[in-house]
Amino acid sequence: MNKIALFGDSTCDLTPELRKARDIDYVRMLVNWKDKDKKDHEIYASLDWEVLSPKEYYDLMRNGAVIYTSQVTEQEFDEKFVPHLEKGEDILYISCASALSQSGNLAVRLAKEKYAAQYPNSRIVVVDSLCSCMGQGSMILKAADMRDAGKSIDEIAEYITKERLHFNQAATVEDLSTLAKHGRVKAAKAFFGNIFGVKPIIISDGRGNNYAVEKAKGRRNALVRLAEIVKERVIKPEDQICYVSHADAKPEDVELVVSKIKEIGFKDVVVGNLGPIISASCGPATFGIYYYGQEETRIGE
Amino acid sequence: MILNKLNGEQFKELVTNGAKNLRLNIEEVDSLNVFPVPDGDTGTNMTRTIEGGIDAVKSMNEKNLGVLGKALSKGMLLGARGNSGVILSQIFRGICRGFEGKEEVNALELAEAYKIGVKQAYGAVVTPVEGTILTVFREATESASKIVTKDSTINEFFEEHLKQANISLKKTIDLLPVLKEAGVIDSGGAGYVYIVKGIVKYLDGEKIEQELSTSSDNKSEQAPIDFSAFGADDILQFGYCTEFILRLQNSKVNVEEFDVQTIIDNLNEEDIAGDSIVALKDGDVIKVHVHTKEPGLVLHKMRKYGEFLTTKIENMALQHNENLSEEEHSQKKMEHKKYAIVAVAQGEGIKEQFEAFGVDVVVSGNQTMNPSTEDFIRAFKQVDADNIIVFPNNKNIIMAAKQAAQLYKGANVKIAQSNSIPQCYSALTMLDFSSDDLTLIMGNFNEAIRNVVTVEITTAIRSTRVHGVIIRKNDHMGIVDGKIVYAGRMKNRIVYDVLRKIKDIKDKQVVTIIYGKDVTEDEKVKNMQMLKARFPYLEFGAIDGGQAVYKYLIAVE
Repeated sequence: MNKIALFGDSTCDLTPELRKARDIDYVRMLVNWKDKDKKDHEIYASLDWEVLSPKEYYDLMRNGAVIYTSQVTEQEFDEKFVPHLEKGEDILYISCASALSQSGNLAVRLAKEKYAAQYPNSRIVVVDSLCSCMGQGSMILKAADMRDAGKSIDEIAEYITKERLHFNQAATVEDLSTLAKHGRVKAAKAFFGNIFGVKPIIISDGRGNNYAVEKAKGRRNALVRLAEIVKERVIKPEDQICYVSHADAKPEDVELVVSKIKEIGFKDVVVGNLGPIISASCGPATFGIYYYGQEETRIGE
Repeated sequence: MILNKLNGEQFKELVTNGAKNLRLNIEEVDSLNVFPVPDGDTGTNMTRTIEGGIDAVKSMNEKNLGVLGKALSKGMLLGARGNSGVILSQIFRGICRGFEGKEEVNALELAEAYKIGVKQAYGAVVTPVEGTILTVFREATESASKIVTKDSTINEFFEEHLKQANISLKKTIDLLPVLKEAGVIDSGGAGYVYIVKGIVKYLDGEKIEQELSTSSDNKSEQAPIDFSAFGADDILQFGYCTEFILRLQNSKVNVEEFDVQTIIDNLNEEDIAGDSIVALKDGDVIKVHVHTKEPGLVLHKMRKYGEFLTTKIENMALQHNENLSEEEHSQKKMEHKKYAIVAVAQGEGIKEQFEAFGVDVVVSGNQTMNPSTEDFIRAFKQVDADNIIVFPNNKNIIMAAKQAAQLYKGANVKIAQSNSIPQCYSALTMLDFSSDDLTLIMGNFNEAIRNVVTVEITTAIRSTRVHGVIIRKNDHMGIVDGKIVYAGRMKNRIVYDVLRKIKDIKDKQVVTIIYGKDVTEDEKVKNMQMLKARFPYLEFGAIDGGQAVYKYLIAVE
């Protein structure tokens, strides 16, 4: 059995420390924007934040920059996958939801059309996480556990595919302007518009789309509602870590969410940054909570 | 004139004289307003209500009291507007129930009928408040009932009724603390006394000279057409407003299966280039309205399907009245829905915003112009829905909405508990029919409404003292959930001055300000700056509502 190289991508939100500790790598998407002088900038959507710190990146948006994202390039796959393939390893890539990014599909195509012929003894398996952020990240951590326990690549892929809709998201944004610009969130008609003070509650739906399922009036109500949803849907909180990710939200908001989530009785609650890709389409101060709960079967229209 | 018995014809005359007397004193009743706000409307509401009744019977020559009463009471129910109007319509509904099956009544029977009126009126109000029209009517009825015997005249009943009504009216000021503080008597009670005075005057031989405003009078007389608007050198720009009614002919088409879309397609063809097309099929009759420069072609083409019953072609450069009413225009557009919303509003900006939020019909109305029961029923008919949710948006409109909901059988009508525009605004922002569960939908609406603190800011029209606040004429005055909390002169910080009076403002999150038509840009900017500086933890938003009277309507959530 070949050694398994485990990959995520820029939306999986795994920190450098975690990736190093668990032997996980990721392929990078790109972000680009125009500065005030109309000059184009493009950088990797890095989870190491080596070019811009999270704060600098979110402030860029606060100051009006509209950030566009692009999928993982062929060159990036070559750079990251080939060294492992050269060593005769297999690759398991748990990708950002295909509803949000074509990166996973590109990997599937490259594996079939390019790497299969060059490296006939290695396998590349791509699993669509139907999720992003720490939902995707948690799946990859689970895959790492299974790999370390000696499970085969097929066993891991099968398990993740079967379980992926249990990796739930409950998220909300601070204001609707970024969502409106990017149109990346599905919602019932008339949900957005000029509705002031209304906060959408966004799940990752059964197809991996971000879907506004309900709304709350006011930021605090929305944050409290997120915790309520987690409490309603969670399965065995005592056995799992809950991930709270945010894009530079106010300290008092973080404190509120964490205190409410802690009441649910998770083994641990880990607070982190919401990655550069998802925050680009949701805006600063977006909150996402990721946990293992009931299978998500709702589909946004 | 001494009446030993009262028949239908006489009752109609008495009530008509009562209505005329009320109309004569309408302004005085309107001015009996506790708040120094130019929106007193009790006189107007009661007058329009009783006129609705008169309108229904004015062309009847009905001697039978029971039959006449039934028509009068139905007209009043439909015409009812404002809470005093609704109570008045219920008073007459009860009285006329007492007349049922009776050709005429004597004084004793009349008293019995009035007692039913008392029961009916009290029953119609969820929590009857003493010191209002209810008290005046009840005490007057009780007193008159006590003195009448089988030998009494109708005159004696009404004279005693009036005497006691006057006494009770003066006492209302002691029964309601809010009246006492403001030093006014109850307006609804005052309106009722004017009606009874008119009745007694008629019995005393005095017919009041006063025109009533009834529906047929409201229809504007067709103004003469000014032909000078289209001269010899003018070029046809707007075309002709072309209307016709066509009878489909079996010799030409299959009448039953004929699709009106065929006609619409014809009118859209290049040579006709029709605009504002409305085409309705009703059995074998097609009604059409179209604007075109080629009316001749229209007539020519339409004869393929049938023959004309009537046609009308008018140059649109001249002012004409279009025959197909607004109602038919809008009816055409309404498609069947499971849920529809009818909301009361005034102010163009508010109306637009409500429509953008998904309100199907906005019924025009506000504090000074309350919609009637019939206005609501018309709106219900206009929407084609299984369930209709009504937002009355004013305490004084809720009863008329409820009355309409009870009378209308075409849909399941629910009344949301919204007493104000800000409450309605907030409920609409949370609109969500996705659960498809009416109980849940109404529950969510009402929860959103309960969560709103309504703030109204307006200008005082006289100096007074209400709710312990001393108010000078021309002060800006802040009303929070119906209580005056502040009066002051600083127009650029008035919103802050009022909002800081809200006790739990620190626990609130979102403030939506609806600007009235009299707010200047400068006031908007300065008020907003002050608010953002003083309440950094609140999220502020604003829309231009364009409403009259209230400079600011604010939802604090």
